[in-house]
Amino acid sequence: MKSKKELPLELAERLALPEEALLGAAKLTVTGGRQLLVENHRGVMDYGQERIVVSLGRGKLNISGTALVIQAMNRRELLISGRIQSVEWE
Amino acid sequence: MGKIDEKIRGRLEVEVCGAYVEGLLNAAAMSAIALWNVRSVDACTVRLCMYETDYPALSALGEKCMCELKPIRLSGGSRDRKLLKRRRWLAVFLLLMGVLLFASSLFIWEIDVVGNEQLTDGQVLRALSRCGVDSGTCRYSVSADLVRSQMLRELPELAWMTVNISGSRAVAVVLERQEKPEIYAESAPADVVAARTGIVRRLSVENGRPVAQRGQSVLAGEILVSAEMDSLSNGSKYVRAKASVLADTWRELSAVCPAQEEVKEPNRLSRSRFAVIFGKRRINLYFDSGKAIDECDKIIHEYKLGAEGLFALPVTFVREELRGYDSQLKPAYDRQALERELTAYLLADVKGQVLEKSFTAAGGESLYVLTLRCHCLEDIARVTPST
Repeated sequence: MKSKKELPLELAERLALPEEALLGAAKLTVTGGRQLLVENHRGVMDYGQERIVVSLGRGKLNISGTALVIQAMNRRELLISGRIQSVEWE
Repeated sequence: MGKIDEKIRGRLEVEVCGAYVEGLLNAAAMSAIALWNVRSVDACTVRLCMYETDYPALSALGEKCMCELKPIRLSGGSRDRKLLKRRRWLAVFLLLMGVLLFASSLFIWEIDVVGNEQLTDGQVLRALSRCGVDSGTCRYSVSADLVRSQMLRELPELAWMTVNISGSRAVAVVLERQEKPEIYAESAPADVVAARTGIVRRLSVENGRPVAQRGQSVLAGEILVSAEMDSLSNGSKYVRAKASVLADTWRELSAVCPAQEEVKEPNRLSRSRFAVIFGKRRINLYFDSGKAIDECDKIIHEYKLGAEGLFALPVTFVREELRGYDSQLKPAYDRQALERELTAYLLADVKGQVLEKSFTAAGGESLYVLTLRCHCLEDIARVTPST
């Protein structure tokens, strides 16, 4: 028996629908190690030139690198640029 | 972010200090305040860019998040508006220019003609003028259908035309009428006649009755192979004669040119003068309308106001450059060049080979004549409908 929390996931999988559209799951797009777009974020938890921590609702994202800059930010999207060295999902 | 948007709304660079700056960033994102170029200065300070109009809202959020906001630099927005307020005449001038630009875009100031081969641009432009499309015509008063029907009546050489107007520029696209081709009847009776005067060396007849013989001299236009043939049943029948007739021919080509010509040697005299054309009215910015230098070339440079392909204004600046020269008499001919020209002309005309050629030059004080005489072996057969 599936738990109540897993039902939407199951539904998205069965219907072959994108999770980010149905569940508001976070979506990352990395372009050439210089730009990172985070969709459906829940806010910035920590911000520095070498480390940015982004809240994703179900976990957080640790972005490490050098000269990191938030290029643009709105309620849904966050665009980070700089030399991205690692992206960790916790 | 769009540069124009930043210029209008104002781009403000702000320094934010606080224990939890990230909280302010999140609050701003939730309140739909656009932030960009967020750079961390140290652990408690960030610098960011925002629209000037959003500053009061971010300031209120800053108080809630216990952050201190300090504007650093402003570009565009209220700063530019203040500058314009101080320079009232500049603002009036810019406004006036804007109004003029808008008003001038309602009229046609430039007309281009495309697609014409036989007709000249001038002929089409004059006909367009008679049909009501001219420099200074209101673009909304032009009906392409009406202009087309009038133009087809004005210029019978046209098969179709239209006028496309974009901004202050009108493009007249024309399509000229094609001449009906001559209908060539393949099976109609035809004779083979001599294209040139000569002596027949070889006659190969594929169809028709041979009239000329080998070694016979023939004149241009004389029948070599007749279309009329004997028929066993009907007396005579007419066919389309076909033959190849190789003949010795002799040609004489002459090139005549002046013995001497005036050559321009530029001297140091030069002068420029200016004029402005408003619509069709020209205003000279000089007093002496005659030639300032006795012998000179006049080069006219025209600079039209407007953006190429987008819009045109009815103002054209004209610069006339007068470059003086001295005239000197020099030989006008180059014998080798003339020989090359005559040979090329001959080879283009001969349907065979040139066996022998020679050049002779003659001339007096005013003219120089170079004559080419040659002996050729060529096919002189030409098919013409029999009469």
